[in-house]
Amino acid sequence: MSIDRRNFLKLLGFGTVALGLQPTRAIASIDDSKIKRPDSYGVLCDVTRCVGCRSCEEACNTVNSLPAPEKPFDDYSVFEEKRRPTSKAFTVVNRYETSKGTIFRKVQCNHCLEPACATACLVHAYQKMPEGSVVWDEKVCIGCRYCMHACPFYAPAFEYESPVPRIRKCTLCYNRIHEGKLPGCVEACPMEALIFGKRSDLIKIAHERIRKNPDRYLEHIYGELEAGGTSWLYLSAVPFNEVGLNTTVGTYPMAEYTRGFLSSVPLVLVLWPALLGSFYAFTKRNEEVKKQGNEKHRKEAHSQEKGEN
Amino acid sequence: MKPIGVRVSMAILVIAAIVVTILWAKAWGESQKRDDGIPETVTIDVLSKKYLPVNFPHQSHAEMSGDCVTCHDHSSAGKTSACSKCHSIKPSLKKDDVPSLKAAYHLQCVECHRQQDIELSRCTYCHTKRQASSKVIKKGSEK
Repeated sequence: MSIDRRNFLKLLGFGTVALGLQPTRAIASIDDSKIKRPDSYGVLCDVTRCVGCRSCEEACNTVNSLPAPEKPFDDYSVFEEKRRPTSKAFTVVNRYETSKGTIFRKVQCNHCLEPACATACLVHAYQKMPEGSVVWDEKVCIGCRYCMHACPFYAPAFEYESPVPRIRKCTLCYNRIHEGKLPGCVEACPMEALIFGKRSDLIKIAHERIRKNPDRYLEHIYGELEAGGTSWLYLSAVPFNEVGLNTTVGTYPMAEYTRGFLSSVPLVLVLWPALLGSFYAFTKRNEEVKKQGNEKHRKEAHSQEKGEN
Repeated sequence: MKPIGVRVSMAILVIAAIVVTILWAKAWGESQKRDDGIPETVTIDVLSKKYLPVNFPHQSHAEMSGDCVTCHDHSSAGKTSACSKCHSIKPSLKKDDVPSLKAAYHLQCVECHRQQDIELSRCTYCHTKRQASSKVIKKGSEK
């Protein structure tokens, strides 16, 4: 009935090693050089330059062949309310009344270096591309909308009105980048409030602007570290929460909050049944061996007794 | 009736007088311009796609700022260099922080306009929208 001490300790040891291995591998993937590729692209958004002309919105609409908006792009009454990117407008400009007067800011997907949407996705429909874009694959998506819950910037939008709904969001003009073009919004911005380049170059440019104009800018680049770093970077004159940027995201990658738990799911579902199953089989076999051994012993003893008699 | 020869020579004289007058007027105008050296208006049409070329009231802006180098950066007083010398027409992948020509113009103008009043920084305050029909575009460019 009882398992012997040596075998029990052996099993316990194997189990602990197996448990220990799994999370170690998960943590190692954080430093995957593919994710934090220094030559990935990004956009630097200088909020102090934006004049709210909505050229970026118009360009985004054109390059993505989106439906015509309710109000034309030269209608500035849209600033009356704070808008969010939708399935028909991947970027919107909002007006903020701040401590330094009226300021405009463009809102879109920030293309996190370690995107929460991609981690939350059950079917790996999201991918962080080496170019910097966080893209979504129509063929894989099952429409659960977990990405929308996971995103700290409310970027992904869902086509609620469509019978075959898709998730829509900014792709950092992934296709245009490959054609050697600038993203639509960047090309259209008359003030060069948006500039496109290697993320590492943009960070240098941003630091240089702060150094040259300390009165104009806050000494901080939003997105350099926020949410573990984003491909979209911001410079501003006023605290970032005044222009509607989430300053509570911290610098810890969103994905990391769930990675430990999510990586243990396959372990629990696959490894544990196998481990416990083999444990059960092993003990059962031991029992049977013992039983057989006992019987054999008894038989032998019996035959010996007979022989003696 | 005067003989034909005299009539022809008179006509030539009149034409010559007109030509001389025109040339002189032009030369005088140019010398006038050279005197104070500041053009009254400057037509900026390097990048006119969506809007008509801008007739920039240069004189009044020069008076407002009182100094050429306020706007013409990297120039010495009295000797201005073209913006396009440093600022390229085509916006590109950024490695340095030199704005493209379009952005350089806008940064120069809008920053100041915005400080006066946010309404002065609206596109159509300076730009006239091009109409869709080509006829209007032709009319506009003739202006």
